[in-house]
Amino acid sequence: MMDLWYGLPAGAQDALMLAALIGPVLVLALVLLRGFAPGALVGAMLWRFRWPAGIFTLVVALAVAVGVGLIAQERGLRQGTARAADGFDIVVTAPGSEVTMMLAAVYLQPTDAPLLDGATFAAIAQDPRVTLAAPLAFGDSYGAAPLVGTTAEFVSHLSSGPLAEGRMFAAHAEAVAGAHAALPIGAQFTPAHGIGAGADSHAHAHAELTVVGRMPVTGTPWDTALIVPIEAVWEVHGLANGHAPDGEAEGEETHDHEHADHRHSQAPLGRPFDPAYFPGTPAIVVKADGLAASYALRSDWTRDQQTMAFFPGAVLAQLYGLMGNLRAAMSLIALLSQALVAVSVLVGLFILTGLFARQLALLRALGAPARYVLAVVWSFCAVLLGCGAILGLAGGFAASWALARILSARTGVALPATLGWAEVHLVAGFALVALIFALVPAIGALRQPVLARLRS
Amino acid sequence: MDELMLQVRGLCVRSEQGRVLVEVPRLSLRRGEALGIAGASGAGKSTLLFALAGLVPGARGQICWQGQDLLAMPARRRAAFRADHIGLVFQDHMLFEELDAPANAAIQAGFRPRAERAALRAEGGRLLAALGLAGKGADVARLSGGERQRVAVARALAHRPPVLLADEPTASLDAATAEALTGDLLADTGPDRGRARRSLIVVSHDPALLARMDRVIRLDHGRMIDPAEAAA
Repeated sequence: MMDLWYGLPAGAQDALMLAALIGPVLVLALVLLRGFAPGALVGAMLWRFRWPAGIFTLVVALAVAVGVGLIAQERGLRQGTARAADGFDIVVTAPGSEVTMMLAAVYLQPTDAPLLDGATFAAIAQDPRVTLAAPLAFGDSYGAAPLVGTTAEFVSHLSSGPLAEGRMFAAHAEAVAGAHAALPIGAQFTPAHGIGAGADSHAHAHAELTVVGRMPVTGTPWDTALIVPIEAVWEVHGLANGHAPDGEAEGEETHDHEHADHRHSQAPLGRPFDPAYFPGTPAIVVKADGLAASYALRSDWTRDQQTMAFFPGAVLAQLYGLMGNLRAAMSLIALLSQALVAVSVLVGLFILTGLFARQLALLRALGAPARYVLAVVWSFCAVLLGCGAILGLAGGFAASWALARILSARTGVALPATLGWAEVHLVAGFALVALIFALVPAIGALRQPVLARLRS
Repeated sequence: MDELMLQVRGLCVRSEQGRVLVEVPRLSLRRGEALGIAGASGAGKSTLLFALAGLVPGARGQICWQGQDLLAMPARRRAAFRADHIGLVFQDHMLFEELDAPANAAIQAGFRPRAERAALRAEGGRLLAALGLAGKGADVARLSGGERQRVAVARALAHRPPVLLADEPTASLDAATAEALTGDLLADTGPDRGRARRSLIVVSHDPALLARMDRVIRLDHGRMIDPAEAAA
């Protein structure tokens, strides 16, 4: 049996699960309503008690929306962060925290990290299994946009094709804007040293960069960044630019900014870099020519005291595993809170049923079968719970969508907001439990003494 | 008026504390007969009326409607019997305020078999029209007391029960309205003239209403004052 179940496509399993949750409700409805026509009475009662019924429905909707929103948001967060890391197959850094370095390289979170030297970069870049090796440089910004130094090759890789507008940077003083960065093409800016409120906007006053192109949307924090040649980052910090100066002996230092700027503008961009003039990089993004090569490279470049290579996807998976444990704990809490909600729903149903206790007693006095009285009460509750569940599903999705927009704007990570089977199952499960609970006040109404209720 | 509709034997209703609320050793009613139940407040009139409808828990003895003992029936059958054979009119109308007058009159349509629903609605409408309520359907809360009570009568009669039980039906009405309603209640009662006639039992303090009954029994502290009036 289990083999048959696991042999089914995921969509079929989800659909069957939904049917299993809805089926008992339909059977219950059929058993209760068969041969009766309580619609007019139930509709009239709903209209008469529309305010308490409406408030009860909204409370149910809120409870459902919280659950739906949490599940949808958690899934969106996982999908969005995973998608953001797609362009980063392997990251090589100095030994340290993989999570910290992943956050820095992929999600552009500021961090202080030791630098890898030019020899290390050269060794990685020249490895025949490597199809792309790009050094990254962080630490500067312009307004809210982080400034990232890298190579044109990596910008093309991350863009998965041509730029959305303009052209790739071709000179040291040129920049490409992320899809959502505020600067238009042609805008000139001077980067600040540092990121955030503590950034020093005068530290690089001598540097002026021009936006010449715009990347397409990548769904990563890089969408809000300004990307410049890594040479430009080094240069504004007064470092060598990764390339040997023409006609200049190795090791000769330049102290004259004007001459240095002129030489810089003439220097080539991107690979190959001269190890002797390579100031260092906190992270190198590497793409290998196959899965086996990726694993081999990760193994080769994970060296004690020297380098650390990791798959951002694997680090995310570890984080998701941790989140999974948290989710299990949260699920337990959610279950307990849902139980409290269910008790509240039950109490609410008793209160609502009490509003028309006299009508129910009258029905019984007039000879209505007990099943009809059950059908009236249950249908009344079912309409409220059903509306609450549907409103909650819609509200949860809307909340998840709004939250995804806010988080996307803040982090740059494109967070999808979708309704999945998990949410549908949650709502169907809630409806099943609540509609079974709805029988309790209905049965309670039958146990009330008719005459006492009529005379009350 | 030969057919015996109701035979009560040894009916006793006690309160939860064991106090006797109603004790009727013998009572009968013939088809088409109108019976009044009179007595002071708290004498047990309404309790007796509702006991006859099978609505009083703890009633002991026999209440045989056309030979069927209501008290021996399980609750489900008792309800079905009430739905088929008994029409009830309450002192304070007891309408479904959320429904209009036609829907109130045809309230049984909700739990009657599909085949009977249309006829029941039609009969409810006919009765409302006959009781002078044609076109006054929208909101029962806006009807006068007399009109509301006539809606209740239409509801009690729409399923054509052979017996109508009414509890203080004219209590809240002025004399003229009470007189008109009394006529409505007594319609279709009386000697058998080849058609199915309806029996009527009315609890009332209203001398005018009681004066039009074929027979009146009086209760005092739950017991009949003149047992001779018990037999039809």
